Amino acid sequence: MTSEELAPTEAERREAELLARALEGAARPGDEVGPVEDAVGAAWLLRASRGAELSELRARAVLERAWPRRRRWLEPTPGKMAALGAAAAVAAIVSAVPHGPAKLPPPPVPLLRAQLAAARPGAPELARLETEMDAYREQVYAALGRTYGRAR
Amino acid sequence: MKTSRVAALLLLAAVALAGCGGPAARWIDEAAAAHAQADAFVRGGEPARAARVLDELVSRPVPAGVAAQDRRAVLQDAYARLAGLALGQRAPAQALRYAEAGLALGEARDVFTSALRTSRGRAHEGLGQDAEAARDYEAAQVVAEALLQQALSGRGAQ
Repeated sequence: MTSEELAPTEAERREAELLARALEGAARPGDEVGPVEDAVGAAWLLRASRGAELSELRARAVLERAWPRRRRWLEPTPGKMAALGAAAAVAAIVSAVPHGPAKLPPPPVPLLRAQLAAARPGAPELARLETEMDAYREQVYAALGRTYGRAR
Repeated sequence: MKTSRVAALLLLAAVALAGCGGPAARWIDEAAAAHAQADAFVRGGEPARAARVLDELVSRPVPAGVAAQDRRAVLQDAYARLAGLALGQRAPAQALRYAEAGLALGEARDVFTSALRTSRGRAHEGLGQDAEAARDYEAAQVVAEALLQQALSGRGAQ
């Protein structure tokens, strides 16, 4: 048999009664609360703290003070998400629509002369044509870059 | 939420997406980068690696946002360069395949068509197909001469 299963003693009954009275607010100054002084003190503290609980209004005020500039307009709502989705869809469609062609620079005369020189049987190596084409290619890609923008 | 803030958000999203340039801009950038890489390989005496880089460029899908004319210019230029690299490596059959692929994209009166005709002429010549070579050279000359006349008379814009 454990100590919990034993019948309470007279002293224990008295302590429990005093404690119950104290918790119910029925304790009077003349009562003998000495044996349960600590428990009574704790009971008073509990009761006092219940009275000091934060009301909803006060809680909101504390939150406002903690986060004074909450950006509510950034909070996701169905409307905002739909608007963003629509913007993304429009941008995706716009980026998929073919651009107007770039205005490519006119081929320089030395390049055309090199092409004429290379387009005949037994002509020497294509080195000159390649050099002229390299220079022209740079201009072409600069024009394409202006038309299509730069990828980030 | 206020309407002005919705509008601001939409504008911000649109500007951000437009500023990114999209797939078309990325493709153009990648093409330019491929040529720069190929230049470096050629200078370093590695034409085969240069050809691989350009081959990868022409094998990539082209975004729908690229205008047909620009798509053709970029790809034909790359094919002409590939054909030139193959000719430099004494591989006329390979050069012919590249030139054919480039010309299959369409012909116009511009330097890209002229370059491809010249490359194909060279490839035919290397394969001993002189008649075909002569036809390509002639076609290349017709285009180049017309462009030269335009350039000399100050009407050169393509």
